[in-house]
Amino acid sequence: MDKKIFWVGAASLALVVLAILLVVLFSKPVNFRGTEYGKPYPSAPQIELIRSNGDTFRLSDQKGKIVLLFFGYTSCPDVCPTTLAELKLVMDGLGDKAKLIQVVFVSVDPQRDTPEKTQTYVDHFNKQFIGLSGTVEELSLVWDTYGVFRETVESDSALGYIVNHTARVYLIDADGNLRLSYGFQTPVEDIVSDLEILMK
Amino acid sequence: MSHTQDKSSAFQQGVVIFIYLAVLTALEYFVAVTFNAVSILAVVAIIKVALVMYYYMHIYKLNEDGDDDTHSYSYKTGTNRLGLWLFLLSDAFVFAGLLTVRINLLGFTRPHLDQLLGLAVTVVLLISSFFMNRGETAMAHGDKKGFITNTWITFVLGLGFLLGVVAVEWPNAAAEGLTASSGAPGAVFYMMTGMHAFHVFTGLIFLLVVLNNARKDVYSAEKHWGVEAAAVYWHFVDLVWIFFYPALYLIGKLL
Repeated sequence: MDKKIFWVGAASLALVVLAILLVVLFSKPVNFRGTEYGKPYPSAPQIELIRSNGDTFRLSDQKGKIVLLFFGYTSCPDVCPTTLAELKLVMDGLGDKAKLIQVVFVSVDPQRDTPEKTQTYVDHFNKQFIGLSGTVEELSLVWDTYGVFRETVESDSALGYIVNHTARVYLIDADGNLRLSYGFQTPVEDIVSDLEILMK
Repeated sequence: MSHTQDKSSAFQQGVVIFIYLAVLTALEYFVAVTFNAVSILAVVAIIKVALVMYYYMHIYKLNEDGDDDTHSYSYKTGTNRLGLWLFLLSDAFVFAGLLTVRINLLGFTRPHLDQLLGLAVTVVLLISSFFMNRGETAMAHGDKKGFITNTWITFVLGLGFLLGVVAVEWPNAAAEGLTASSGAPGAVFYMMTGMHAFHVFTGLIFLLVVLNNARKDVYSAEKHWGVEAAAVYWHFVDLVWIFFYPALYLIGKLL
């Protein structure tokens, strides 16, 4: 057998040890679990909608807080209630620091969701959540700038049609930049972990 | 390095490479448990791939001096070999695409899976590659009996992997709520393991074909392209799993 093969083994082992050393010495202190946006971080597009209490909600006014943005509708049978329940658990998991987080829910169903109906819906999960709706024109602007997919589909449900929609949760940092996004059913502890890193 | 060596020397080489792969796999698992660094997992995977591609898939044969006589067996084997590697390259794009989807949709989170089962099926597949190399080496030295024995072992281990994934891991995962339609993690998991399992399945059929051919004395030490092709394809399937195993089981915090 060729003796060179032992050198190959030694070299392979050395490479792995080197990699481990480099990581131990130079690794980033942060290890996000969600899907990261690359640098330069994109500025989160403005959202400007009238709330149920008459106030104007502006995403830019939320700077200083981390925003968790989610798109859905009040008649959603599964994805929205699950995600909002998980976001409530995220808030619970943060304790005091939860006041630095703002969950914002934007409707994809303006025909049935009024601002009042949307706010009442999210209130059931957490009174700090903001629920927003508007006209199709106002919301289309938001859907388009965030790349949100939505599609109405007839169904047998007593509620009428269902709306297929993007189910990702978008994380906007305190400077108003898009930083991370989470797919449906991302474990709560992963989102909490990322938030704690950002809030350090 | 000498590419022509006697059979026992070639067998020994196969064993040494397998030991390297086993040690690297153990290291990889250790790293995943202690460091949670995807970069180290990537380095280990790349080294394993290099070892398999050079020593088991003998990719250097692509560079062999061809015969000028285009009707000769050696010329045709040369073009066949190139065709096979081009096919594998295209197949690699399919798997690379799935890997990219996984990273984009799930980031550095991972689906909830049985770690012991994942490690077990990985070990089984790695050992099957060892026996495949042993079988091909046997045939390259005219040892038909050695080829048949080692290839049957490869087949049984490959079947073990397939059943481990499709008949054990899949029902287990589904029982925990991870289904193909339960969301992004489920879709990614079943798509990756399913596409890979399909290749294992076709690999098993390929093995049965060359086993049957060998039984009928179709192959010899000088002419056994079918055997080489089956072996290279089998190692390719192992290669994909070398990336897919850490991608599915080892990314993110393990403990």
